[in-house]
Amino acid sequence: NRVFAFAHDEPHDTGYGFFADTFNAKLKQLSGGRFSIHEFPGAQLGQEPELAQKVRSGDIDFVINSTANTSTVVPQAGVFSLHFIFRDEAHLAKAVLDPSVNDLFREMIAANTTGARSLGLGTLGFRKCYAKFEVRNVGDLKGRKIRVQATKTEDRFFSAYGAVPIHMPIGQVYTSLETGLVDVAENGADIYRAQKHYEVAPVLSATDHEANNNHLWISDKAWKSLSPEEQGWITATFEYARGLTVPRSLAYDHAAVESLKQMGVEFFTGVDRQSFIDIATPIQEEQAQALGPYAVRLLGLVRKVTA
Amino acid sequence: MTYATWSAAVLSRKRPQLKWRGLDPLEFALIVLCGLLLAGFLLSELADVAFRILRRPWLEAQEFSLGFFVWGVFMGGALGVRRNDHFRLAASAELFGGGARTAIETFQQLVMIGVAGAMVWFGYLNFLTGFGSYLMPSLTPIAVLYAAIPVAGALIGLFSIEKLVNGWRRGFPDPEPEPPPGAELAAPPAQSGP
Amino acid sequence: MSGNETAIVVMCGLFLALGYAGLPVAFALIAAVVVVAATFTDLTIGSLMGQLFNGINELALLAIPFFLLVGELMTSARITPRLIALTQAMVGHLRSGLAHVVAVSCMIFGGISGSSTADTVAIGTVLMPAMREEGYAPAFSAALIAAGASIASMVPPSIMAIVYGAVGDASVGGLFLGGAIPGLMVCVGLMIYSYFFGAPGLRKRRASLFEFGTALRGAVLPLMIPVIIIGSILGGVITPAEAGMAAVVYALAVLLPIMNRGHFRHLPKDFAMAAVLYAIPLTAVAGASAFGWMLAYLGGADIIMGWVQGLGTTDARAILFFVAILFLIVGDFLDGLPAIIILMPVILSLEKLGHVNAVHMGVVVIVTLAFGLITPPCGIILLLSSSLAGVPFSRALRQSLPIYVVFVVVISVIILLPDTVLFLPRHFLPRAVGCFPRPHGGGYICP
Ligand code: NA
Ligand code: NA
Repeated sequence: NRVFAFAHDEPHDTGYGFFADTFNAKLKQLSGGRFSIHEFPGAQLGQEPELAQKVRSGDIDFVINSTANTSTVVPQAGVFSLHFIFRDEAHLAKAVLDPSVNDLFREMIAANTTGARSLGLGTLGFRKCYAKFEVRNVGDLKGRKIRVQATKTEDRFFSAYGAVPIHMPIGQVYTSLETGLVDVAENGADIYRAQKHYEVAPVLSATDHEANNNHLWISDKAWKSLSPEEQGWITATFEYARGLTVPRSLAYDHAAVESLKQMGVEFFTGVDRQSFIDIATPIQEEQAQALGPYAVRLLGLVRKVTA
Repeated sequence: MTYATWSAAVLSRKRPQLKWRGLDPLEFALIVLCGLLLAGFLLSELADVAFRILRRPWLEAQEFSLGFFVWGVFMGGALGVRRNDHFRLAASAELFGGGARTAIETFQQLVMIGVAGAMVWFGYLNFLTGFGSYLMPSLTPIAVLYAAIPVAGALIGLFSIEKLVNGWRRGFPDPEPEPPPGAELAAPPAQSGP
Repeated sequence: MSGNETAIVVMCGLFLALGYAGLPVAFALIAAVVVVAATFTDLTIGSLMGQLFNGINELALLAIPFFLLVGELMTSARITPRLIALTQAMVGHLRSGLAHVVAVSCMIFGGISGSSTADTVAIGTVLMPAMREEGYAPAFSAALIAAGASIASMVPPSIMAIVYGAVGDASVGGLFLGGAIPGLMVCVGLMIYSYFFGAPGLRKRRASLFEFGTALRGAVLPLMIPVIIIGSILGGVITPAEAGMAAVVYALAVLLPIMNRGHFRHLPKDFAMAAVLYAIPLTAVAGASAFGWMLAYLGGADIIMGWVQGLGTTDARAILFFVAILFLIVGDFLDGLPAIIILMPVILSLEKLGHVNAVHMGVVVIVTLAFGLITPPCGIILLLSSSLAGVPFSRALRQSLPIYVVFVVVISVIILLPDTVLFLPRHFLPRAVGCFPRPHGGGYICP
């Protein structure tokens, strides 16, 4: 009987934990009880960039990484953080489940790193801007200091909107919003809630400018130790668990927004996304080219997916 | 001031019987390096805050700070081996004399050389994987930080060999009692707990 | 025992064996990790070496060099004596006056430096000779100075609090403020003890208002350092690292030019010595985090949950007493920072089980470990102060025994009366202790 180490940096009671549980049950079933996983949630074995290192060295068998953090290993994975490449949630869900997008993503990972491969994509939903005020259109970000993820792509887009991008660890965002060191921050609704940022930035605006996507790594060491049949169990388990997890994660996201509204957060849905899209669209192309050829092709495939 | 006055001011005087005078310039160079790394660390933190206040954020500042900090820790950690500054749970060897003393001190230095060897070889392998991983946002390979580990390992190995060889040649026990209290005020025996 | 449990036992045993064979803690930890990984697992040792790096790649730890540099500047530029002169004017006239001066000076210097070692050296080298002249037994002085210096690890800034916050995800600012009253309680406890049991010393007349004013004027500039550190953390915009940097900038740009301009040519030495100092604890942090990672990988978290559930209580006070006893024992055999890192999963499980406030838990752990700095066998601060006093450790230890009462009382009080810890953070950093703003209107609600 073999127990695989399966690590991520979210608490167990999240979409990631649901995925791990589903994965475990299905894997046991397909393997007739021979295979199972031991889940290490909550960054027990490290933060995402460290987990990415350890799956590549073969020290952890499975790791969930956001595509944003995957770009510390394969910078072209940053293509999934380009702004406004997903039209809406239906398009997002369809794109991350799309076979040709996944095939190309797996190929990109295989071609650009060693020691681990990707089983495929997933998503937690869209990121939104939050502040003490509504973000009605791109003009509302002009001259505003906004905390962004530390990548060149984010710097490029938010600068183009006229905002001043600032990098800081997530733990510092609360007081920075409180004291005005930053005016705006952006994240998924669950993080916004878990970090209590709503206390100091009570208006959540549905900018939905980019998605929080992720994928599942498996180490080459684990993969190559398996027979073709066993490898088939793993991929089938992944497809099964992901199929259940993507809608579940989006539902978690909606539930997070609902509970925030209950707590008195203003959820502003009337964002003029087109004012952002007009600026972002030409930059999508430029940034994909800066990232590399796979990024360009993935952008093309994502655009072609019809919801 | 000259090298002689500066080095007299900063070189450690603990356990001189275990040292090669020829390595004193290396200790001195490492001290200077650590001081510069701390100064660089201070400046990059300062610049980070200053540019942020001026609304022209220096987006790579945190990578610079981290670089100075990490190299400072590993170089200082290696330096601490030569200076005998590292915190110990017990001074067991000092309880004994003669052969037992030599045996314990030899064992300690052999383990240290083993650890140093592991830091050099496995740290080097880790350094190689660091070319496939990048610091955000500059996309600098994280190997530039990982490199500090094998380098520290090499220095630690050198300083441990120094102790072992000199201990066997001149004996491990300190020839005279500890320097008088206050002789090394600026560098108190460090500890790992505050 | 499962294979993993065997591996955990071997790893801990190997670490203690090497540690007590006299190997530096940092390297005993690394050796134990490497040997166990190679024999019991198929982990790559290379990535465990990477864990040394991951362990110090924590934002909060970046504060440590600055707080050590400030302490180094104070001592090396001879600014500490000005602080001591002020405490002389405040409490020097009491019975056993110099002993009171020690306690209060330790508290004040502890508000500038994050390290009890620095406190011991700064206060000990100035006051130890003076105490000897006035007829205090050197062993008594050594015990008192060591006990006083432990305060530096409780009151802000504190390296222990920084590491605890970094590893345990608790607010460093909250831990800083939470430790202030316990630190003050230890200071007062030491004064009470000295009043009744210290040598009478030379009775001095009370300082005149003029003398007090002169002493205050001499000390007011360095006294701004704690104000800057605490003020900037309370201000909220600033991380502990930036607060430390602000203190360094203040010391370089204001303090030195006014108080000791001639010292500037010694600055390179101060930077070099501070750099050597900060690397030492952080090397141990690096080794301990590789050790902690191995514990987690071997399933330590689940084993710990098993023990914790075996405790059979969810009473917060019982759990806190359990934690205090655990850390008293562990702190006797292990050094403070590695103890925090390695045992953090236990702390967090217990915290959840008893619904203990994270800052309350952290301060209890920190005060207990600060006490461990003066208990045998590895009472590092007592060791240092007895060597400064030139007395055998055993004699200083005997003089310390009655002082332990002070610590036991303080630890019990902060467990039984959580407000002694939580009062300050609730008022000044409410969010750090889990308070949330009232939905409508001002103020906070604290659970
Ligand atoms: Na302190
Ligand atoms: Na102790």
